[in-house]
Amino acid sequence: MRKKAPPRQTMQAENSQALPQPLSLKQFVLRLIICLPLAFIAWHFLADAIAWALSYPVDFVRSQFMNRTVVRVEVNAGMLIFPVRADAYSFGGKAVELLLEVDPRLYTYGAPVFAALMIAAGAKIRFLLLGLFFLLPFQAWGVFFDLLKQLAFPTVEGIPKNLGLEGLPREFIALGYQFGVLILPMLAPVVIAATFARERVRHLLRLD
Amino acid sequence: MIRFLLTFIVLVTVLFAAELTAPVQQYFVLPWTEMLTKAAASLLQWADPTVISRGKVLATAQGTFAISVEAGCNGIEALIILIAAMLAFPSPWRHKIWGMLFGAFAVQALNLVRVISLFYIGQWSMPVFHWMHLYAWQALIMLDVLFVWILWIRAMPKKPQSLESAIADGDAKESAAAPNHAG
Repeated sequence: MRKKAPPRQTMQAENSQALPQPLSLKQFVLRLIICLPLAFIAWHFLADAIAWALSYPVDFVRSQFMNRTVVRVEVNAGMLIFPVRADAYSFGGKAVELLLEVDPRLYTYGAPVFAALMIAAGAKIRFLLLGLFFLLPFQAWGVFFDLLKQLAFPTVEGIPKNLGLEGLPREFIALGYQFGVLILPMLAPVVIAATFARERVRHLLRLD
Repeated sequence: MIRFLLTFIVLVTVLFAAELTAPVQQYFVLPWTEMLTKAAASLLQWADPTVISRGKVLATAQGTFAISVEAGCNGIEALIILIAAMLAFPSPWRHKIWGMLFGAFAVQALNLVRVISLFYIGQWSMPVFHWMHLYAWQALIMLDVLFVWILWIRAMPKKPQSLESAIADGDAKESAAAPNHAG
């Protein structure tokens, strides 16, 4: 037995409930002005938790590419610490570990921007959380290239010399680092927010 | 959407790699940064005539405080993102060119505010300076880029209606206005 199709008006009402309510640019900007400082305050106080979350993808990349040189990833006071096996000869024959530090906030300040954009756009909480998760690889890129930069362009004596980071790899590291610090933290949150809140963006751009 | 995103990403990467080359740094980035520093100094001198600029360094005449405008603080990366977004989005060339000129002005105007504000904040509190410099102002500049882009798309001229669609629209309007005699 075939079910009777629901009346057309009911279907239209259901569809309009599924789509986000129209939001003017002025409303969006006002909401953003309110949300952005709050998101930044939350981000500031969650620095440890964010560094801890970021340490997982960074540790995964480290274990794949630099397992022998960079021993592990540690989180301390919101900083990511990388113990590096130092050149024993540089320290009078004693094997020591050098500790390299990366400030993850340099790469995660896009998270509060993303959160503020999503909240201002009236996005659902699950999309907000999913988006924050999707930001992690871009943030890990920045942290990892920061670490590579410290290894390829050492300012501390004793960093291993034979990492194969001369020539072209050094150029690649320089480009990857610059991209990770100057472009990705700004760009990734906006692109991901625009992807998650497509309908809102279309409306704000007057493309619908 | 996917075509726009791919074009945008390729353009950002190409423009950014070009920005890092030595000739572009020497003949465009450095002179631009120095001009920005000079403009900031000129504005600051209205309030404090002792402020000086030398190259890309902005300083107090007493030498008590100085900032150097470096990569990431000269607004060029933000401009690259804006230009790539405008080039990648399907629109008339005339509109793109106007958008890029207006966008460059909007981004650099806010960037001047950033440099000037950081100059004062740094003299007041270094921790606040670092926080504003490394995190907050970066986010604000990106949002500036986003809003310029949104306004640019909203200001885009509507496509001229084709003759067929205009006739079709006219017919539809007429039939809607006419009384229905079909019973």
